[in-house]
Amino acid sequence: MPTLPQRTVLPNGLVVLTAEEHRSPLAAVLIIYRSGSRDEPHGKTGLAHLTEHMMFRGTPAYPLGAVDVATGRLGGTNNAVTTADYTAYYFVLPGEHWREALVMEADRMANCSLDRGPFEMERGVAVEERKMLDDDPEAMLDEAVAMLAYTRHPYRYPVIGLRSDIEALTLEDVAWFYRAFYQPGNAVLVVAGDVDGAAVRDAAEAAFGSIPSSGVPASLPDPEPRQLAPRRASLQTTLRTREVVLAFHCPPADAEDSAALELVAALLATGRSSRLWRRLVMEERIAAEVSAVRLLNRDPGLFTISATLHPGVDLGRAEEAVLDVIDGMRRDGVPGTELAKAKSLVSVDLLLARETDLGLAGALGFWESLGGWELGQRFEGLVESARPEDVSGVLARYLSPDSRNSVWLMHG
Amino acid sequence: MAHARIEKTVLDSGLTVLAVESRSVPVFAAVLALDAGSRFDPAGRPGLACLTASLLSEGTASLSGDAMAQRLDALGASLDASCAYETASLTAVGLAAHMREILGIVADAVSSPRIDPTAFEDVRRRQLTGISEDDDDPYCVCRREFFGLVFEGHPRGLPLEGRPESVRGLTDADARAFHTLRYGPRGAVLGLSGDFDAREAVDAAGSAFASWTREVRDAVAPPPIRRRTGVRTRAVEMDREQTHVSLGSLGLSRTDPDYYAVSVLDVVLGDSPGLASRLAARLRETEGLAYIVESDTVSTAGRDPGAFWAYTATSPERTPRAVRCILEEMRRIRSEPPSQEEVSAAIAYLSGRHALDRETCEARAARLVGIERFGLGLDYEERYPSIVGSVTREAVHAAAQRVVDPDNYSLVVVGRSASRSV
Repeated sequence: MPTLPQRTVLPNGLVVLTAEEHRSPLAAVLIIYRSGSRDEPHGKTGLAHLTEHMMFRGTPAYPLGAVDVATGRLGGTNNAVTTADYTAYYFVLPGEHWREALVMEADRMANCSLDRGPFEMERGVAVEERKMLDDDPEAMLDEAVAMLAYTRHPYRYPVIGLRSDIEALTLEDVAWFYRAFYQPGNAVLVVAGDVDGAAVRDAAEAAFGSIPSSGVPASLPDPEPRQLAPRRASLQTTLRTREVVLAFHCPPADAEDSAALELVAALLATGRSSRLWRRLVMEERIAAEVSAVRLLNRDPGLFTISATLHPGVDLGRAEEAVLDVIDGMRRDGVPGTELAKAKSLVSVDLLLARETDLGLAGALGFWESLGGWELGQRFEGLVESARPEDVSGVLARYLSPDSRNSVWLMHG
Repeated sequence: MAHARIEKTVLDSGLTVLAVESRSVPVFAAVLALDAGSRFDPAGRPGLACLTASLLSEGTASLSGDAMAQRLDALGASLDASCAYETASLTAVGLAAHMREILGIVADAVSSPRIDPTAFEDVRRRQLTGISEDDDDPYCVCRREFFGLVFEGHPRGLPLEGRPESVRGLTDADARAFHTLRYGPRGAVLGLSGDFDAREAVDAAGSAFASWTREVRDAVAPPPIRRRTGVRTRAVEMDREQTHVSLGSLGLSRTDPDYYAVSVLDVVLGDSPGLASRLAARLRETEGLAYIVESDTVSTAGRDPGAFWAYTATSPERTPRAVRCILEEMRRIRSEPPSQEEVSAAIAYLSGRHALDRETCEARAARLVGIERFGLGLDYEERYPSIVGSVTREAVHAAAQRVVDPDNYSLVVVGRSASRSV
């Protein structure tokens, strides 16, 4: 039975979760701001990500590079990630040093230095990161899929941003995003591992308690209209790699159907007894790899299936084979034994995700940022109790060929 | 916190089994490593070791590939076969409650894999597609060409997966012969970590692997590796947004007395968190040239020496400057010894990361394999902080003179107008 976290809320709105796990002499300190690229103003793609970069450019107390140097000295690591829905910063370090991480995190929530010279430097680095993704076929495919599947919602745009948008971002844009969203009332702090929960809560109060919250601007992204017909795009490249991706709209992470969709992903492509592996890799011998991923998003997200094909294979044939596999599952249902297998695979994955303090903190913080850490428990419970008809239900509701988005990566 | 005790047994067959408890979640991991990596590819057959390793998850004499997959998936377990330069490995992860059953499948897979023409053809086709994907990736091309240049004329310089023409020439008979020659218990190491009693885990492994007794012949040692002199360059044209740069030279082996000083050197120069290393401070923070810049020597150190390898990716027009900056930092680490502050910080970081690197069962099991293969001793995990803690500033400076050489190096540039940057 996993350790249950303790939850407290400071008067300024900061949610503090502590999870004591004395299994290794380590601790993870994670802060999640409930804002990401979905909260960017129109034409400012890449702003959430560039703001994250600027958070490493220092404060008066911890100037440029000082957080990294201090982290290393403490024997730890730190990093950050920007997604469409949130921005997270984390430290993993020897358990006795969680306080230092808390102090550094509180300091940059309140005092990030936003100076023009470093900003221009960091914008240049972000452009290099953009170019790196331009050279990455998987990243380009993901971007093409999102551009096709979303017509209104900001999930349409990549988190890194469009090149022309990044180049036009200003220091004032970053200052606005930082002031608007980097507030205690918009954040969840999670400390997991070899720590004393009560001491963490006291220290969190001391470090973050005096940072004011001034109200977070409401982000109400345009909802994505229902997709009425299949959509298609081809990425013509000079690459030899050929891949077919099919994406379907599905409900937000906290919807009840999420668990059954997770099981559908496992049924389709986890392990070598999965339906797509058997059909595309072993029987038809047209693919080298298959995958199915249900992205957990705050707003309605995507269920994505992809197949990397052998040279010379017709992309249309591969797409037909994938659709046929889905159709077969929908038509004939999924036997109880096969569903039990998918549950085993998903359950072990969920266990492994909690094996590290950062994994544990990440899962708690993610669900808390969507409304409550208990949502994660509910998700696991729904996986456990799912019935074959729940699987048939989500297949019928979300994985219809009429609402697919298909992108082909091909040699042009 | 006390380190859990490592149990070790050498079975009659010669298989060494090590196990350590890890009670955080009810899972376990097994890593079985054999001297069957690409180092042992027969002349003219690069890619064979890799292909043979992949065949281990395609079924066994008594269990079809499909039946094996059904059993593993029903348990929620995973079994991955992989191949590196020195070793081929099988890694299994599953619930600790299923350990005996999963170890039985691992033993069956390693001792009697189904190497028939159909399975062989399936795996070869996937390997060829993988090579084709890697050929599209400038990072993979850059790394492959760099090792090719540093280790020219030596098996380490050959691509692990082979090249399309060499892989097309392989046969299932080659794979069966390689398996017969290289896949035996003597010299193989099984590391186990998980939610179990370590003694019981070792016993379970003893039962599971009891019938694996094939004797293998000693491998012919590859020729010694020569250190190259002068500047050797290679440019590969690829039409991409960024140019990928690899620069470096011969490194050292895992058992080299300078290994720990070089570990500290790596952290100071190019392998620190975020922006803390000298290379990141210079190329990313001060010059804003690149998103990624790093260097490392220890990650490729095995029984044979690996390479000191510095890497970055940047726009074509900034590439010459990036190369100059890397060379300047290489000169500086030799002329300006690391400060006591830098060395202490690096040691603190390595001591902490030592715990971070052992958080998962899979990582612990893999570390047990390393402890055995490199003769580090069962108390290595306890001793590590004091070993690395005793590295002096002078030792780091001497290590820099040895592995970082700004006058004799190999440089590979992959990208648009690559030849203009070499």
